[in-house]
Amino acid sequence: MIRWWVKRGAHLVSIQSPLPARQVLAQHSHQGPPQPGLAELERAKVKFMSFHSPTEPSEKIWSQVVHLTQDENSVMKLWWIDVAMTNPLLFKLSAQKLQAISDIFLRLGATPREACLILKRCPKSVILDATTFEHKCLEWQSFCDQLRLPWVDVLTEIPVVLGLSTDTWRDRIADLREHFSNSLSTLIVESPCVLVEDWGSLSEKIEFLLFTMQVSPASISKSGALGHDCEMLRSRYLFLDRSGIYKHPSAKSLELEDTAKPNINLIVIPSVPKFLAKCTQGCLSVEEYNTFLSLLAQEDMESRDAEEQLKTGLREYESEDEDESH
Amino acid sequence: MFAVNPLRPGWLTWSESSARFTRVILGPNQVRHSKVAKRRKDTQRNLAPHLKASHGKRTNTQLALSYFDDHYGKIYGSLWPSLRLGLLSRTKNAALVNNFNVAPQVKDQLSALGASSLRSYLPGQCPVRLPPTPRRATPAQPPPDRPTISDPHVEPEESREPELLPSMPLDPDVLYGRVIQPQSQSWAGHQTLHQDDYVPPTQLQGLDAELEAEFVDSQHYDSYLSVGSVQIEIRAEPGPYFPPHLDAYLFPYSSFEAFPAPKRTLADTFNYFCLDAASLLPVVAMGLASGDRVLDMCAAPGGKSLAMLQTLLPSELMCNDENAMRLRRVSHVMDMYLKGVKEMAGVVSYKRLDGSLMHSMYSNYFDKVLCDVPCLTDRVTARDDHNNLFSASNKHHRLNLPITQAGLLVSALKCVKPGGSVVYSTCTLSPIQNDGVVFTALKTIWETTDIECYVRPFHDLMRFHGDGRGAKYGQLVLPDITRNFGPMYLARIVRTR
Repeated sequence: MIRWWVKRGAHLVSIQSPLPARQVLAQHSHQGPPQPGLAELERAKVKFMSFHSPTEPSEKIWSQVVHLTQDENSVMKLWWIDVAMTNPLLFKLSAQKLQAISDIFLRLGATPREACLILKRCPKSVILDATTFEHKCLEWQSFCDQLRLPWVDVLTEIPVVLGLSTDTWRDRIADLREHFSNSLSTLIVESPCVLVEDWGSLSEKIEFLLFTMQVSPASISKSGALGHDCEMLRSRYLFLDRSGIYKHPSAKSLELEDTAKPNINLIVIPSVPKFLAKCTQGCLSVEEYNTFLSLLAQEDMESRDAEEQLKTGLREYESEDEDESH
Repeated sequence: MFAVNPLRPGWLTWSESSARFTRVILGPNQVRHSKVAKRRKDTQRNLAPHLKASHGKRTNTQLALSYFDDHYGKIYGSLWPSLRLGLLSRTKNAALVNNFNVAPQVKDQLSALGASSLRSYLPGQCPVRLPPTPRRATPAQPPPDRPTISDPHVEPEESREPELLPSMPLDPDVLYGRVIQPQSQSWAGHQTLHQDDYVPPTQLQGLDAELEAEFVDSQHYDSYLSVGSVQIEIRAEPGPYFPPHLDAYLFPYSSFEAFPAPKRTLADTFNYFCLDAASLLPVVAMGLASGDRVLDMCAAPGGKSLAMLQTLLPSELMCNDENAMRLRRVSHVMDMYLKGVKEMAGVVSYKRLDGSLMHSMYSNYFDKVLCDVPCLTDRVTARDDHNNLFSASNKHHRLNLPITQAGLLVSALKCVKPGGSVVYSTCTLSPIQNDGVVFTALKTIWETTDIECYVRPFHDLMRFHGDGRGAKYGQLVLPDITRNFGPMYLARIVRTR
């Protein structure tokens, strides 16, 4: 209990004053790289310029990066180069602002590496001003605490969530709770995108997994299936279903097994050969899978065409009807 | 006073005093059964929202698929998922060129669509004889989509000595050999299930009502595995060769493009006929010769009859079908493709007879007979609920299919002249309707007549699946999504006496 309070206290202090945070950062500094030398910076510059064309904006960005890495107070040091490599647009913000933003993450308890990961994916539009951003981060942290979520891990996956309002988070949680009341935190940890994805496409995926594939909510949460494209889920399901490998669960055998087979986490394996090896035990080949995909695409196109034709026909029929009545 | 029905508390009861039905208020300990059921459903929905609370009645296609999974899964093993995927996917069609039309123009049109002639698959000048290999063969072999078809011009069929495979020729003098032992009286082996036979309950446990009803039928599949003990003569001979005038176009490997609808041309006939490419194989397997008198015993819908005429070889073709509607369809197809062709005027004739009784009218009459029997039609049964063989009304018909088929084949063997041949074909993977029927028919022939015949495989016609389980006496074209033809079983039986 005491340890818990100590932890809590330290945490609060670190939020309120920037000075203790610096001390905390000093402890973290061993995790990050040391201050880079000139030769190291030159090498990094060459690498950076090879990724991004050596134009005027690139030079500006690089000068920002150099400024940040040379800052004595900065703990991030070479991590900034990493950020610049993947998210150069972020450096359109001033160096002071970036420094302040990174300090916020570090004060809240993230390591320089985690801060780097967040900044790598963080769009520029999310960061307004340091105070508002800090406030938003605090809200996010308390929100995650309520749900017992590791706030840093989720944020490294979807930093864009900081651009949404608190009400939006809560609404999304309420929507998800309808289906995943017992496994909500697992779901968010395994597929953090559920917090930011468009509800229309997300609910389509949920309904497909629950009611068509008949996968149990617990299995969906654990597998991270909601992080995948609905089209991919559908094509793999149809492939397995038509080949007779997919077995839907039966309500009769509720106590024994309440989920479909093969397990959803095998179905969503990104590599196609591995997916086939695990789910079909080598009974079906990659060639057959690829042919099936092309066939499915053709079938979908034809059904869309047929629907359109039907709609056009109906419209024409209705217009003719109206003309006659006039 | 209320007269409460003690058996059904909570329902409306007849009140004598008011002379009308009145709702009885339930007591504190009385719970309506419907409420209990509803509560149970709600609990289940909360615990497992992904499970359906109630099971709807299974559709005919679902029944068919579960039946196939149960039986074909045992027979084809690890091949079955691939076959099932093929069955439930779109068939790959071929466009049979109408020779009675302006053929060169049609061929150009089909080539322009990206299709290539079946003739282009001819592998050089030398006929290649390939042994029957499992479908998943070594990769060094020619591409699987390219059927290896013998060249008709290289070596005529008659010039080769028939090669005798190890077999036990049936000596008519050894009468004992012609007596069918009671224990071997089954459709495809020496095991049978009598109604008094003991069946362990474990074999029935877990099967639902429909499958239980099918259990007796399923015994055929198990007994099929032991067919090998009865000897049927099998002679491997060269050919038959691809008829020179028959031509069809196919889209390339793994392509699922469909041919546009055939068009009526200036000659008032349609330019091509679309059909499953595997349907051409029975026609090729017949080995038609010029001036042959041919019978198509179950001709509807007429695709194979039309293909026979496209070879320009038969001098007489009799299209028979028991069903008047179906026979009308055949004549309609012929009208569409042969209208106004003088040469065909006396060639095609139509009969509406029971095929199994045709031998009484046309005994020893035909040179070649095609016996494309009504069967389970796996592809249709697995996909179409309408008029499905697994519907309750068709159950009797389905279970009697092997008997009907054997009857038709026996009749076909009687209709053909000595020296002629019968091609038996089905479009099912069911071994009982394929090898099982050939076996039964030959057995019946040996028992009841003096007719002698042998089975002739087509190893050099095309590479087939033939590991001995799928097809012993004939050949089986297995569907596969990349080259989605069939299923098609064909066996050629040559009558010697």
